[in-house]
Amino acid sequence: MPLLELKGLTKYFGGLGAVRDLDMQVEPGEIHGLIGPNGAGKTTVFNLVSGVYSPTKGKVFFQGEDISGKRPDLVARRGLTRTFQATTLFHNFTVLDNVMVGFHLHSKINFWGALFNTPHTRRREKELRQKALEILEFLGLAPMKDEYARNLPHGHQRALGVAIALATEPKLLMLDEPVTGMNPEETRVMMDHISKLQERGITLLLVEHDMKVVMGLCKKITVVSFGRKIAEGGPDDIKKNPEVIEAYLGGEEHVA
Amino acid sequence: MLKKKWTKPLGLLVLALLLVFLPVYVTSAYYVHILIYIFVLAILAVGVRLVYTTGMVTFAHAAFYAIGAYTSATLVMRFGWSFWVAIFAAGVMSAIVALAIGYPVLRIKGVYFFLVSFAFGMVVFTFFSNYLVNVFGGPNGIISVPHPNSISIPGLPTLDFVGKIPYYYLALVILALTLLVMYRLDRSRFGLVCKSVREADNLAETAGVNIMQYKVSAFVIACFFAGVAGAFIAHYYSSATPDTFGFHLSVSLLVFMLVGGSGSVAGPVIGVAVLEFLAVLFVNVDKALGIPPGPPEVLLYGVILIIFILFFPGGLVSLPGKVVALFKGQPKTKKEVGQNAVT
Repeated sequence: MPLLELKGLTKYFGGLGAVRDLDMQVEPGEIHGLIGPNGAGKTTVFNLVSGVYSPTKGKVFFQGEDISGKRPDLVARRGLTRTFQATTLFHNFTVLDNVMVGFHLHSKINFWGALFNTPHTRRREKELRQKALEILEFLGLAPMKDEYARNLPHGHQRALGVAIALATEPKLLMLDEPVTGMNPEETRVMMDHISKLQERGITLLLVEHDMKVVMGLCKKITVVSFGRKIAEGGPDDIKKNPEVIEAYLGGEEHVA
Repeated sequence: MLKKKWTKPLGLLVLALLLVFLPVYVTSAYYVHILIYIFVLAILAVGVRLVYTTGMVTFAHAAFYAIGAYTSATLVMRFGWSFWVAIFAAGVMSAIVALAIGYPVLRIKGVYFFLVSFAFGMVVFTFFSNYLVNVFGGPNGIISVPHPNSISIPGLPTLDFVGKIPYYYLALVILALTLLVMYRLDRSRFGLVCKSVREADNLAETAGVNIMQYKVSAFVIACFFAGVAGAFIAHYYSSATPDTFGFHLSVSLLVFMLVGGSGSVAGPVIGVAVLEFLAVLFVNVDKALGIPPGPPEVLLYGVILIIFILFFPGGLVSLPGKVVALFKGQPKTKKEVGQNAVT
């Protein structure tokens, strides 16, 4: 059974079909790439899957369960989370607190426990802090745990976005342009992290413009253009596919 | 480091003792009244701040204060409830109304919520001034609200609510409890999640936060305390009139928070204290000069507000840190958090 399955997924904004009749399957354990020229509807797919938008037509299945149109927090609860394209972080929080929010689903601290600061709460907070530090260590952010998120360099902010997502303990993590705006060194580090996430058993769905990154990481790639799927396959098939070349040459970018 | 660890609790202890023994030294009923009113305003202002931690700027807080006042006055006078039960029921009543309107209304974002909360305030004001006149007394409100019945706490003399001193202590106790709850919430995971909703609600949602649940919870808690404060003031003033809970109060509460600083629970409290003392000062100056009080103060309030929003977004509480940084010749500390973003 695929981990994530989109069946005839369609989203119209007024008369504009941002995503049209999209079928796609993400198998457990893989790094799946979703590419396409600007405005192809990649981010809309993310928003449909993560629950920001409801589909106009079609369904989203996660682990066989229909999650179409479910609220983002309920989707996250099932083990599916995403990062954002822009550097969406809790900017006025410390790096550590950013990750602490990520533990929301697993904190096991209720309102009264928080209010009365019970021994259970204190113990749990300590455990969570420890787990947060492990995640930060893993992503190379531990030295700046007390820094405010807004003060981090761009590459580290991106990594922090991934750290928050990791804290939710996802089965499927969707990364929206994780290396955009990064220098080559930062890009290399992020690619390394993504491979390590896969080794940890997390399935990844990756939207990215940087073809080197996509080709380097993904075994399976889905290409969309004007909201429709135009190709699917391994990196080599995709590079040779005439429709893909056409879509990219007709657009603004070239296949590397 | 040890020194720093102890300055805060020690400072709070001194402040608490000062407030407990203040009525011994302040014999003027006028100034005791000012202090009581400051306590009540502080209870309201920290509520506005709690709602603000979730990113919502409420203009309806005076309405929940009014609901508490009318609820308690009605329960005591019409149904013969004890004040000590009614004051709690008043808080619960405000909380229930907050829960009922919170779910639809807190979905609305930014300026639109601000306007809707303002409209709700007007609805409540109009309701109490014009409807059920035989119960709520119309524009004149409910008059002759009785004093709380005497209570005896073991070890202390029986408290009879005559004069202002018992009210002073009651207000102080309510304020202390409110601040304790607010402080604990602020420092806990609940507070962190509330603030995460303000910082980036879409990210909080993907982290599994049910953002409506947090917005509504903060709103309901804040309104509970507003209701309790309203019950207190109705019995203290012996009346509940619509004008006490008007639109200008909701404005003032936001000013208190912004001038004092919204980054901590202490901020709004300091804002209330400083601005209210300033107001007293103005009255005295007016008296000395023999001019009627009025527009100049309002003007000055406005100027103070603008200065703070422009130059001290962290509010009054951020000033000591700035002064220290100035003397040490350090650049701006990284701890300054711009809290003035009214979203």
